[in-house]
Amino acid sequence: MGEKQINGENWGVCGKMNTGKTHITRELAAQIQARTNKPILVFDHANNPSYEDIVRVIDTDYLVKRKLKPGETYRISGEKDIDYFIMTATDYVRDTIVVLDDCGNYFTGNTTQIQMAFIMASKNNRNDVFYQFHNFNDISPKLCRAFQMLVIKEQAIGTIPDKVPNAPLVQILHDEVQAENDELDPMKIWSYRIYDIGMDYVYWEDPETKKLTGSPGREYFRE
Amino acid sequence: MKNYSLFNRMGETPGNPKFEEVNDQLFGQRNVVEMPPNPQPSAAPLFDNHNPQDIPDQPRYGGFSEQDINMGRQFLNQNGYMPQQYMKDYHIDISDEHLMSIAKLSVNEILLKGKLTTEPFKFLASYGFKFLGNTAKAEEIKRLDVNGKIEVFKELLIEIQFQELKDLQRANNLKLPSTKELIAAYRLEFFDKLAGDGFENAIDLFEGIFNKFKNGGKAN
Repeated sequence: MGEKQINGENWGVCGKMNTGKTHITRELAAQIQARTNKPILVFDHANNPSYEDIVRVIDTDYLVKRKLKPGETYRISGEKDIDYFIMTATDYVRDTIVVLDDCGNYFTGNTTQIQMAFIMASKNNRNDVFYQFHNFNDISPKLCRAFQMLVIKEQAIGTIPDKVPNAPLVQILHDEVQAENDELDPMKIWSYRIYDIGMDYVYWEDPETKKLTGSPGREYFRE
Repeated sequence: MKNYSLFNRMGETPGNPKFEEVNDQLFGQRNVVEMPPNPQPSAAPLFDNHNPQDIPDQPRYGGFSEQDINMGRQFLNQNGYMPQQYMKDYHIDISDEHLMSIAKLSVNEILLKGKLTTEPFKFLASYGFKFLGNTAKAEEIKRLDVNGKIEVFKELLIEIQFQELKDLQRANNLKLPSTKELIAAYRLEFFDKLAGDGFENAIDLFEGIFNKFKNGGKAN
């Protein structure tokens, strides 16, 4: 048999501020890294303090000059030319876990060709890409359709737009999250669901054991 | 267990118990795809033992059969270059017609058919890449011009004007170094190299950049 190759996926991580998007993204990225030893690259254009602890700060040109080392974690902060980063990452970043913080600010409106190339390249470039944003309304429809995995946290606007794949089901998951959060300390509204769109699988965290459980969507939504 | 990254500083470890039960389902085998077996693990010999007489009479793209292209592409994917023997046996010369035929299948492969040795810009120019001017840089280059070849670089910052290639790129989702990509690649150090180390070293750098493109984006 031939060699095995692990393809990448596009993850959408959606939730309003202080719902723990970064925390769950880091957990998920760490898990993927543990399995694959891929480097992690955080694109933090807005200097999010949640990523300040990553000490390997590089600039976009570093991606052209050097290959990211397996198992390491890098951060690009404060890049003003976002298109340049997107374009460079499309061409140079391979076998990497990419985290795009607050991408609702730039993957908005109509998807540009540069953005589309990046979105579509993740699978073949074996990049796992986490798109973090506050609201599905903020991001472009094409990006919405490119997600294979969704991490659903509570949005400020509770309605899931039609452009989201399986929007009615995502709406159910969002409403569940919101209901759980209503029972929590307002400073700890960290409930979430993970929805594997392609495999139709839902994951949720047991509030007591803090462990994730998964279930096929056809069973989950039947209940 | 190895502490893989600073991502684990928040308390997550690769063995994060949160994911124990769902690990394989969530992160595991579903993304693993079986690649076609590699028929030749070593670099060169894929085409060494073939018999040119066995080439079937298939529809041709300006001199290449579809099988030629597929075999060539397979070799390129595996080894990153096109063996001279293959080209010779299949009567492939680097004519415009052949190159343009290949271009219709993959613009990337054009870059492999030509030897980007000492005159890469001429090579590109011959296939329609037009280099437009940047006055300041043109003056700078002119000043550095020691052997006349540098004239080719005069119009360095760059508009790719070959509409047919661009159309093909759009139509077939082919990869062609765009203006911005080239500028991005250049602006790092090309002019420094040119000013500091002279023409030949700058050429080497240029080849490095194009090797990246011909290797499908992987930096050497």
